[in-house]
Amino acid sequence: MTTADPISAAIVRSGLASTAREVFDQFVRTALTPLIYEAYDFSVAVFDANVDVVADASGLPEYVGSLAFTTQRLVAEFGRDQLNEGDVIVCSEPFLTGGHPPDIAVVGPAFVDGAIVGFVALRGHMGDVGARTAEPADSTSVYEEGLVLPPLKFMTADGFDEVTAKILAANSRMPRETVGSLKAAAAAIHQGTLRFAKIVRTYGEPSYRLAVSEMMARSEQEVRDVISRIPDGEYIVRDQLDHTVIAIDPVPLMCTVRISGSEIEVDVTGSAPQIVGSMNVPYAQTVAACRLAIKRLTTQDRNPANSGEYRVLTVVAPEGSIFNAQPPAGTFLMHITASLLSEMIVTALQPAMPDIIPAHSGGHTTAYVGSFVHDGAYMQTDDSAPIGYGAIRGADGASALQHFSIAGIALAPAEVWEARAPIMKLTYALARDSGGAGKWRGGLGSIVQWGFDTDANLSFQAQRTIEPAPAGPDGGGAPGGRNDLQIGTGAEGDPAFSLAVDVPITNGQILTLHGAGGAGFGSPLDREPQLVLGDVRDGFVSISAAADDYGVVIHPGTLDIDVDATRSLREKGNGA
Amino acid sequence: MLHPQPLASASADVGGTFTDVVVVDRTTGVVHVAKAPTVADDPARGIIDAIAKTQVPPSAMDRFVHGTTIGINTLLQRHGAKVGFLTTRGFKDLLLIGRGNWPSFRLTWDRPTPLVPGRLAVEVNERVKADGTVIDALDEAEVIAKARELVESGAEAIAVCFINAYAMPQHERRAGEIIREHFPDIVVCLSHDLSRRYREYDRAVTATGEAYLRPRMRTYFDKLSNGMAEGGFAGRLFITASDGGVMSVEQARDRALRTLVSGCASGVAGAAVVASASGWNDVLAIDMGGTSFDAAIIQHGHPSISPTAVVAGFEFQVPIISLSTIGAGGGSIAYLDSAGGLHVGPESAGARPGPACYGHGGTRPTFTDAALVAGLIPEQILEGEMTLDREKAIEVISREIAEPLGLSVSEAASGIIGIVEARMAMLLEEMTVGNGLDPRDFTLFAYGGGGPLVAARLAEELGIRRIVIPQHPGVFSAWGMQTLDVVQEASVTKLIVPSTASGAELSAPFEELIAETSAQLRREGFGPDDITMLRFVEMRYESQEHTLLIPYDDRGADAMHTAFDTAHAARFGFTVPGGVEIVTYRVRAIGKLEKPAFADAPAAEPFDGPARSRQVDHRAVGAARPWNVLDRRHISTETPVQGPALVEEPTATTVVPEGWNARIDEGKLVLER
Repeated sequence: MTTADPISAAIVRSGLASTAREVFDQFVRTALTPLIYEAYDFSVAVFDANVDVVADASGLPEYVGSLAFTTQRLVAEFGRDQLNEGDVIVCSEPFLTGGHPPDIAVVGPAFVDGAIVGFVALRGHMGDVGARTAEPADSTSVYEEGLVLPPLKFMTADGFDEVTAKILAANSRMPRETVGSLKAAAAAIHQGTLRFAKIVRTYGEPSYRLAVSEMMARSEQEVRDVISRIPDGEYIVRDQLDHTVIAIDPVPLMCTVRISGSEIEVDVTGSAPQIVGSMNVPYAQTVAACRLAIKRLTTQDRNPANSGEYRVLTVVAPEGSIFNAQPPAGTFLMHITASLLSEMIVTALQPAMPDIIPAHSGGHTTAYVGSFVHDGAYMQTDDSAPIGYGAIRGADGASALQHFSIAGIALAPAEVWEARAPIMKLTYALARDSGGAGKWRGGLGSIVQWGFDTDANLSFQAQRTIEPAPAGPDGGGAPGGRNDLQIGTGAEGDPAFSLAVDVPITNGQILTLHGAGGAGFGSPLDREPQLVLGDVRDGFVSISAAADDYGVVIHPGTLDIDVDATRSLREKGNGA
Repeated sequence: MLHPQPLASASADVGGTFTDVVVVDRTTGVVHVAKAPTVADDPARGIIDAIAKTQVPPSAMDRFVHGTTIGINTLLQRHGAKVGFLTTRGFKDLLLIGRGNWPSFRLTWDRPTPLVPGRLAVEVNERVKADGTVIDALDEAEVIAKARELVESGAEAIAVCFINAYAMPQHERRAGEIIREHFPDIVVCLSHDLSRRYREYDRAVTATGEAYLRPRMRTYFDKLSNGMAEGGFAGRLFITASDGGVMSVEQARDRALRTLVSGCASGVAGAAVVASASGWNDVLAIDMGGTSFDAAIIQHGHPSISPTAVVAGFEFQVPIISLSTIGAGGGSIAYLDSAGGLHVGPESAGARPGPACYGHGGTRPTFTDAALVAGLIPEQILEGEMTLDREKAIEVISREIAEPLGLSVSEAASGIIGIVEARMAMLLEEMTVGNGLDPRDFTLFAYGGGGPLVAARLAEELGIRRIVIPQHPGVFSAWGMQTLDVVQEASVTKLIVPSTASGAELSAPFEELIAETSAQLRREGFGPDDITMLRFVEMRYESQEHTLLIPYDDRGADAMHTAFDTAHAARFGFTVPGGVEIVTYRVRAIGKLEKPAFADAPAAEPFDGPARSRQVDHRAVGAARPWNVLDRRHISTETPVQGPALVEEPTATTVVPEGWNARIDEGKLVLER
């Protein structure tokens, strides 16, 4: 047996990170579902034998940290002694994985000399597992959300379990893609376990253990350093789900963040009990939402994550809460509720960390999924309208970005969709005047339009459709624009929708998606007139809003500032 | 083409301070290296001055190959032209929105500033579908009006990108004609002219990037051509491209983006040429410089090519040689994190202050300091022009690493080297094993100041048995470019399911690409016999997104399917039942230029001085002991050198561990075991 040495430990550390990356890349290249290869709707992590995260490669931020929980429960449920070299287990039980049934967890043990030294896992949206519709926002229990796979061996040293593959295929609208992606995932995980084992074998277990403990200690210390700079106390924020399809009234959410020294507790007591509907969050995903917030607040510049970062966190979620839902609650749209919680934690701490936390962003993701039959085959399309981010002291907010919970997803190009589906993108524009006014302006939201040359069944996602997000600090304006979807001729007055299912669109109609802007920071009357003029020239702010909100008068013909009129307007205190 | 005198060719790297020139006598293979101060506003002067030091007159040269960093510097420093953007109705904000994605986990994000501000983006009525059907005809009057707006706002160049122009470029072409007719002084870049691939944002970025660089680069190229002519050079002037080929300076005036990352590419492409001249066609090319380690795969004599280049935060649809890079170079800094974990890089001490042993005020230990302490590199380098401070290196390694970790200085130094070598080996493993390739089938071709230092260790890690170090490895990127051919790359997105297409339909998209690229090569003076045409298709399983590059032959749909299955299984370990589809057709047209003779030059000089040796301490090799030290010039073809030994030359030191022998073969230093 070798002894630990710091040189080998350093080599092991980079080896673990490169293993996670390699699994990630292989899965992206071989998956057959756009949600994986285009949207990165999955996440990879490498664990030590205690099932602590030691390296990760993350697709969707909302997955960060949830895999740890998933893998721990899965290994416990399945039984460590039942695992052999070459095995890959899969599972899609929402209350074990924290996901919804199309999210399948795939886990492989890494063996050295007959003993488990760690695990490689991923969880991803594998395609279609036969829910009532493509996105059953109106489901009332897990039984309407598709086939559920209990923990089982999908791959052994002898190859794939074709019986499970057949059952999955028989329940899927897209059998080839769904089974193909699951096999791609299992193959990638298997490769990862081999690489992992080789690293431990080459450099020795003592150095491997030294590497892991150093990494965790370092990450924990970095997180504690940041948390300890936040004043001790309770930070409370309330929000709501304004649409759940089924409930008539908005569903109240509450989160209390307690800071004590370098420890942070997130308590969701005060939030609604679990609801009849699809927006309940299993506890594992609630913890993941908290971990995502911690990551953004403390170590946003550093990837990958490891379990050391989460030692400072305690999560309090009463059983039966919407944030600790019990079977058979519906969870298909749990990601909306979970990412709202993640945002609430950050928002709660905004007054305590005004120099790093921006004003409120525009909203959630306004998105659609369409399904129809094209050339004899079932087909799905989707898209979303990016939103504006809040300004921060010293800088304007960012315009037209994906919601932070899915930050890594690149919107699919119009030309890629149009090459394969009978739809056509008509508009891809920033929503003028949607950035909240302020000394530092909020980012702009967007307007996206698609023309449909086919009948289709649509599902919609949208929140914050009733009231805009709150105004920004120090006199900053509230976000403008809107979060909703419309169907019709593409005109202003088309009928508007929020969260909805089974919305028909007919051949020739136009779908419009709106994403709101972000809040401003500081009084708009303090914004440099030249900056307002620049915004007008770039088309971000209208001439009328320049006068009404910023007190800056601009000649429509010459696009120059009327200095005298501006002075008198600003002296009167116009704007805001 | 005939020349009565022995022919030479030259190449130059124009840096901020110095211009390095390499002259190759193509009949003997002798390589001359010279240096002169860079003349900022007249680059040709620095080049001519440096050439003068080589004793080969410019008039004796029939070829001058130039790799320029003007393009990338213009982009990084944002000194390009004022560009207007003209697009399809509804897409004016395309460049500002991009694809909406941003780095995970951030609270907010500073988006890289687009090359075109909102005020210089305009849209016109026109729309076509992916199958080429015209929905809205091009509004020609509106093109004139909107172009006028842009010109009046000060645009020097206009980039045009219409939706689906990759499939149906007529509207872009017509818009280009109209703008050129009405505004003859404006540079016009059409997206389809640069790329026939789908993804409108990427193509728009490509068109605006070209428009941003082209006016500046034309000025530079014109100055260069005139200056070289005045200096007595009457041969052909070539510019290196990121795809590993060269192009005439005339063509480069219209292809500014092709020059963006040509420096690294020329090294890799040169490695492919030099290695395959000896019959070694499967090569891993590695280049270790001051801040980074670049590696590339060469198979069957050709470097692998990626269809897009990510530079300065933009993804351009221009083909480049696929490179994998990590921040591990001579200047990489070793440090301990807050938990006592040892790291090396990616932070680099750069050229200033540089490693502590340079004595320019560096106080943090680097790879180079460790290599000096371990005895791998000499204290006198660059033929005695520079002396390294070994005491200083020992001091910083001891203070920053050895003492806190409780190691001896030599353990710490060899540990730093070991960590860097391990990271490099992992990268090479990801590139080969991770892609279903067996590294033992490859020859390692090492250059850059540090490549020869680490090559043997990497070869041992990967099971490689042959290493090639070219002449003057420290400046190989500069002289390797003289071995390159004229290359024209062209590709077009065309979704075709082979099983539903006839043989003729299957190969039809190549016709246009072949016609276009061979016409360009004919304009550059190549006859049909001098042109090699490589055809590829980018294929995938239906409903996959990512593609594999498959060499195309005319054996039909079933053979294509089988070739793809084989490639997929080799790379990823499984196949998928059901259909395959072709996404993109690609050709690489090569116009062959005459190659230098790879002779045994300079011939080994007899050596009768005293034997030299140095104490070497290398973690992977065992206890410290004296290694023989030789000058590369004294190694002959006949008597190989047995390891352990160090082979020194002005720009590099080659480590030859025990079990390896080194010999000279047609000018190259070849290590085998």
